[in-house]
Amino acid sequence: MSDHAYVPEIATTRDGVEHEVQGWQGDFYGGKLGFWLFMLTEVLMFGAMFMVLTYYFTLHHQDYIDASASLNRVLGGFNTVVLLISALTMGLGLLKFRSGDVKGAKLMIWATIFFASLFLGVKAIEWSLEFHHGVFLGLDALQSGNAHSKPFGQILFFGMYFTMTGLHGFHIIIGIGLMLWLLKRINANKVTTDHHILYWNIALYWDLVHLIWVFVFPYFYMIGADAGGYNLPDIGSLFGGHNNEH
Amino acid sequence: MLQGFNTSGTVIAEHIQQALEINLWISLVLFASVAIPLVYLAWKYRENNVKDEDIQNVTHNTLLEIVWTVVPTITLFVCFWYGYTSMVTARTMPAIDDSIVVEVEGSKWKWRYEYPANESGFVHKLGGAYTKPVRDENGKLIEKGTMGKSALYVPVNTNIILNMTAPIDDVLHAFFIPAFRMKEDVVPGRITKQWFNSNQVGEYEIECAEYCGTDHSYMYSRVVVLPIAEYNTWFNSNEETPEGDYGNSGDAILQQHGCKSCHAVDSDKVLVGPALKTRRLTKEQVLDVIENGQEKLGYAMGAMPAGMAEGTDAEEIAAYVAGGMIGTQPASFAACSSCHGEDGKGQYGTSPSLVSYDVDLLRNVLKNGKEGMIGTMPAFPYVSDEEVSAIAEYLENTK
Amino acid sequence: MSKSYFDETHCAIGHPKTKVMQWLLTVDHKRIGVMYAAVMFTFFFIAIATAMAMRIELFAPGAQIMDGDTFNQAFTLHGVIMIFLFIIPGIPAVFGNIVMPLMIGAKDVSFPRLNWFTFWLYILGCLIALSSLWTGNGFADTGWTFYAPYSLNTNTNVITTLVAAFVLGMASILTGLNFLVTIHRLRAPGMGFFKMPLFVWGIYATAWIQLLATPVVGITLILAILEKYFGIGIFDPAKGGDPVLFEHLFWIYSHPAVYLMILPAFGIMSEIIPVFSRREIFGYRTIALSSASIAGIGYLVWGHHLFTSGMSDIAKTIFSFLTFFVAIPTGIKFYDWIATMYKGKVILETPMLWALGTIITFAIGGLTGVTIAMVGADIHLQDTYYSVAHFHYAILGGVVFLFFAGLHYWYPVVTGRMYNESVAKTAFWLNFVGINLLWFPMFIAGYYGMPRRYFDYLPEFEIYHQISGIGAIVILSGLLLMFWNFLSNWNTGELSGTNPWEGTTLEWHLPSSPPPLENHTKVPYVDFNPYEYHHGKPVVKFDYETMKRID
Repeated sequence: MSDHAYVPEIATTRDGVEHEVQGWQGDFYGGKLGFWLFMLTEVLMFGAMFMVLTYYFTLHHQDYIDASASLNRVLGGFNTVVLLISALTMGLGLLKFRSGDVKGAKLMIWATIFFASLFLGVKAIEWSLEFHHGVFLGLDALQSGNAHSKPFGQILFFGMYFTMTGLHGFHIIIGIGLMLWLLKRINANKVTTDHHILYWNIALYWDLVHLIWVFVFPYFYMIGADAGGYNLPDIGSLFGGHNNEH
Repeated sequence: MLQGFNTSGTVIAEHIQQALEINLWISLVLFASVAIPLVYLAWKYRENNVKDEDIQNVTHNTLLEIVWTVVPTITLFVCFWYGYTSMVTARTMPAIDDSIVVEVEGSKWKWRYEYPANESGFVHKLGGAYTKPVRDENGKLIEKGTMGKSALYVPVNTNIILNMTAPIDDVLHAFFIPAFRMKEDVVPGRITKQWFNSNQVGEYEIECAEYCGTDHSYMYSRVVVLPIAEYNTWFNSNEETPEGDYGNSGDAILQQHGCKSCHAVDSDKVLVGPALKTRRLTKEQVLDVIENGQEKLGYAMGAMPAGMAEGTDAEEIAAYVAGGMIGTQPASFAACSSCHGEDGKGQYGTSPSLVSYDVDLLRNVLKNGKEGMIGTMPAFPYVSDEEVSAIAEYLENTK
Repeated sequence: MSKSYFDETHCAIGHPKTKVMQWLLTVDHKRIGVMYAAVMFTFFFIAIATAMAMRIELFAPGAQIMDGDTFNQAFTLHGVIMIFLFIIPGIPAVFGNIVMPLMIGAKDVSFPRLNWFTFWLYILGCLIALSSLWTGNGFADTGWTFYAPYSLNTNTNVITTLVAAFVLGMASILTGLNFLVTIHRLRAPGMGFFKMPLFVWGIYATAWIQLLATPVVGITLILAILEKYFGIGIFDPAKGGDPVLFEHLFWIYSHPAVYLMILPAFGIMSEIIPVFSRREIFGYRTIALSSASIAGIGYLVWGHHLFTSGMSDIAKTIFSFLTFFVAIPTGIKFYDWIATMYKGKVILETPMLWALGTIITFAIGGLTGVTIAMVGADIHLQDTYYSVAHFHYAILGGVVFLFFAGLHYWYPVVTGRMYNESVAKTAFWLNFVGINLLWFPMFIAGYYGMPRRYFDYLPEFEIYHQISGIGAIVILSGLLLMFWNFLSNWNTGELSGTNPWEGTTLEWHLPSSPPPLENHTKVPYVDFNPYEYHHGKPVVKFDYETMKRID
């Protein structure tokens, strides 16, 4: 597997001209092409969700804006910045690695992992705040036909909100896992400055993850930005303080 | 062939039929253009009819390629055109002023029709579940299924617009009248429309064409096209049906609300829900069940715990209770009387009277307790008070 | 044949010594293909058995052997197995794996370990689907389309089935990805896109569909799962959701999926017809590009499944119009194939019989598809037996028949042996007569108003169901005979040699049959077209030691 002594075969024409044969081993561009194609499937998957979101936005315009207004733009915005920085550290890491600075690259990967975890932590705070406000999957507010039910458009908005931020968070977790695996492979000298397709692809993956968030953020947080004031994080309710329903 | 399949006399059916026939001819020609050369060439160039040196690699023939691209394309767009125009006929709703608008509701597994108010302000509400055909053990038909009171009565030579929907907690159905060549899905939470205008008095089958579960294949109804005078007489009366085949009895109401697709009325058989032929429930309880649905049989105490009595004791109790509690009370009945009273007639609102329990039911309850034995009965909030009274009264008298 | 050293090293994990583990862990594309075939055809026969049970049930009106709910589960099981476990992975997973790398002169696919992983992902999906048969409240009763809100309301095991479909979808995406990269990167030197055999073109177009359409259904299934678990409301009318949206998202994938099934099958047809006509194929480029255009247009026509769903009339018109554009390249292919026989030498051996028989059955399937592409006609025929018959003529009479044609055609490559020719021909005729007896009456029943997915029916339709029932028995006997023929000759049939059909493409230029690990001795330089014949003999000849041309 780690044997890079693969020597490409030579195919010869009838006139004796020699052509190098591309094997599946050590095919850097093949690996890149494959991963780009895989990213395309991710785009389609999130694209379909954005389509659903847009469809219901046209049906329930005002509900969407109201629901969006109740999201926490401070935490969401903070997370956007965190994720953008993490994309920067990831990119810098790859540049360092390609120029031979393995130690610096490893540091950058750790930084990316740190920012990714920070993102997840803030996301968790956000979700628990929403939970304390009675807005969460399975709670009354998002069920139909009871006293706390929100209007249809808001139920759909929050349904998509938890689905999409949840799936995005899942991608972040996978990303952290991939980066830890990458560090392990670097330490084991399986990913080297000559053979770094794994690093390329993980960097590509991370770019996509932050790119999706760049679309998620305005679509969920910003469409209602004019409608309501900014909600400062209600930390108190986290610890069971003034835990009112509304 | 279904009744009136070729003689329904609607514009839509004629137009779609025309499209289908043109398509049939085009298809036959195109099929022949594939099948005849195929068979001919396979025969002409068969293995022992061709010498190797006669084989030629013909790989292009511009003229031929243009012909077999352009000609089928033209025929295909003829098809498209007839498909399009017949769709326009089917989908262009007539003006509401010239039409009768009937509200159609499809739900598991019945069709219901609501008419506009008549002269006296009475609103006709018809429809209901189809009674399944009865067959003997060899599958031989003994009794044909009947549509009950479920027909959609319409006058001849009149535009009928159907505004169709399904309850939001129901599923998709499709309202399909094969003789009229018309069909459209019935979608919960949406209103879809169809229209027709038949110039032939007669009866035509309605089927559900979108899969909807257990009794999908029994979700029939029918359209009855009546002479205008006959229709008007009926419409402006308070009568349920024009023919008067169906009396204003509880049986008809049960039929109409689809009770009978889950509950047996004439026997003790447990279908989807329990048989209604007991007198266990009071009128108030029936009312409660109909309005609120049924999870724990409506008793405040909740489920009866399992294993209150076992073995011969259980048999003894069962026999005693099912026998109408006549004769000596067995000692084992003491286990029952704390809740159901010394006389076993129950305590109102807490525990049911055991008077009309039969042996099977009792044995089952004693062994397993009882909590929504068969499942939740859904609520039917649209049932009117008069209808509930009729059902309850009817149930009282069934036995 | 192959050395055990290679067996040990051609594994995804470690160096297993036992034969079984060497197979289970193999990364060799040919072995993976054979394993796919074994699993798939097992499921194929399970689904056939369910279909037979339904036909018995429908032989007369009223309940015969099962009740309505069981019937609903039976057609769902039949659909889910046939669609998700058998026909979607079908030809790509079996022949895409076994033959495609041979045809382009590659040693393996681009990502052999991913290929191995994909196979086991597929097995996992199958197991999840099967597990729902015995767990919970029984197998889903929604139909293979899982239409909301029925799938959200029913208390059968829909979630498990949805998860299975999602996992199988993942496997499908990864297969497509692997083949795309393989075809782009690993073609032998000299082999431009227009020197590829047409089967590779079919696989290439298919791979794009697998890659670009499957994610949409994947997320749709996830949304449905979340809907069932958490009630996010997206498809639930009680929360403002729109069930018709589910239909759209579902068919955005599932319509391209039918082209995903048929395109590699057309590829098989394009291989067989020139070889058994002993001449170059007519209109190579037209056929290749029409595959690509069918794949492209196939994305734009999903709405023709929704002509009666309450969609707007303008959308219906557009979808109907676009649908006719799929028929055009398909028609052109048909004429090209037929023209290939002109001035050739038509050798009616079993693969050719299947190919020609398929032209007839698929023509019926395709032309009846034109009928229901007409919006007006479809208002009447949607969800009737007419659609059922159309679909089965196109998929059984098109895809599966060509799959069988491929099984006969490449049987020597896979096993190194020959099946019994006269038994194979008998099996073909049983199948050919059977399919027409089984499905043609359904066109008539459907036109007269027999809706699909009916457990019981009005007595008017009895005669059509009874003819179908007899057809089912005929086709079943044909299928059993065919597979008995394959299995009984697997190890004991006559040795076939490396090129029994005088084929020209690279899979017939291997040093041994079945091929050794890593395929050709050396990678050849491809400076010839895929179907070069001169006076009925293949033009290109190789020295199998050096893979240099010797003609």
